[in-house]
Amino acid sequence: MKELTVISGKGGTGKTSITASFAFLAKNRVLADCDVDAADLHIVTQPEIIHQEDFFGGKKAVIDLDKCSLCGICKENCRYSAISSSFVVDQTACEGCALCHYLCPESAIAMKETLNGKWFISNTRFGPMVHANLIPGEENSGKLVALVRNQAKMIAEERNMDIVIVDGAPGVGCPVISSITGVDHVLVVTEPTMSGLHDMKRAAELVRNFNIPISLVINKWDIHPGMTLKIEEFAKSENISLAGKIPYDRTVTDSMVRRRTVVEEGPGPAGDAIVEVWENLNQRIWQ
Amino acid sequence: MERELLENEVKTALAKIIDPETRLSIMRMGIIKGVSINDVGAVTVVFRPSSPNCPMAYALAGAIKNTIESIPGVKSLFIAVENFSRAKHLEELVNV
Repeated sequence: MKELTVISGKGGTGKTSITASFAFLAKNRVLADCDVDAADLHIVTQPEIIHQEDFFGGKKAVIDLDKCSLCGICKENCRYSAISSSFVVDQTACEGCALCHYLCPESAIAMKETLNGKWFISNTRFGPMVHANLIPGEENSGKLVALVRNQAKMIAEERNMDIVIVDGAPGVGCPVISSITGVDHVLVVTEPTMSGLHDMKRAAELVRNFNIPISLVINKWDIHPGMTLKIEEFAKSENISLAGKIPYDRTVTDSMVRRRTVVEEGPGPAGDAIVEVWENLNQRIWQ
Repeated sequence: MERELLENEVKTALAKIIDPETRLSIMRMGIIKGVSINDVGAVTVVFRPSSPNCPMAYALAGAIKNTIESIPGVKSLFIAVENFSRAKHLEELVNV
């Protein structure tokens, strides 16, 4: 069983659209939507939820006003300004560092477990899918990603499936690190813009730190051929293999509106290019 | 029969160890790949951390060791570590 993670560095490059197409093209696969801060793979896969659970990822401070002596030490030392003048903890601002809990001379501050989100196991027309929703403003998305990936791998092992396809988060933060550690291959999706190039470089550097084989795909490459050339030159200089280039194609938007993957729309410039990228990737993953 | 009872006891105890990252039991996480017990109460556990670089592997191996060794009837324990970048080092630490 292999594990492929699709990340992007920059948001909005088409990472999830490409992942959804891979879900259609792959056989015997499990999907894991690890972009838990802004999950959207479900829009196309239309999952039927068969199991769901709450996710408690961390703890936040709660002040017992009956024990509080109003000394103000907690408020003075809170780096997140989460404690009000009436000594009530703002649950959105609190980062759960527990400094106030340790400093309180009256032991009036407890750290209480908080609900961060929900996770799901679903059936889709592409096979099983594990996904999650983080409550807006909640922390610990890296932990939730670890859980989603773990459950997807368990399903793949139990059902003897060939591949887990992971839709990672944009950026290079905790959820991204959590979605790439220990996988067999990472695909970085970029676009020919300054920010696309900049963020792709950071994502590639991150993947390199984990010694994971990496491939690159340039989406909407023809909207700026000059920038595409720069990205290709960077990939060559860093020995990153180019899995393919996908042209701008209105079909991508049309398919999204119909809640279908691009490749389900039949032959077309973007769909054909994605099929080619998938074939190239398969060779690299299974070699 | 006694061996089966002890095996169930070991599995029940392992199910109470919670992975601090996901907050799921390590049995539900699927990171215990096997539990076997011989006639003289020697237990072998196969522990496969969720990733080769799992930051919690050492802590979890310690929790597994403490939990199983505290069960009456367990005479010895061997934790086999798989799919972890420092598997040999971890095995040396916990199997003393």
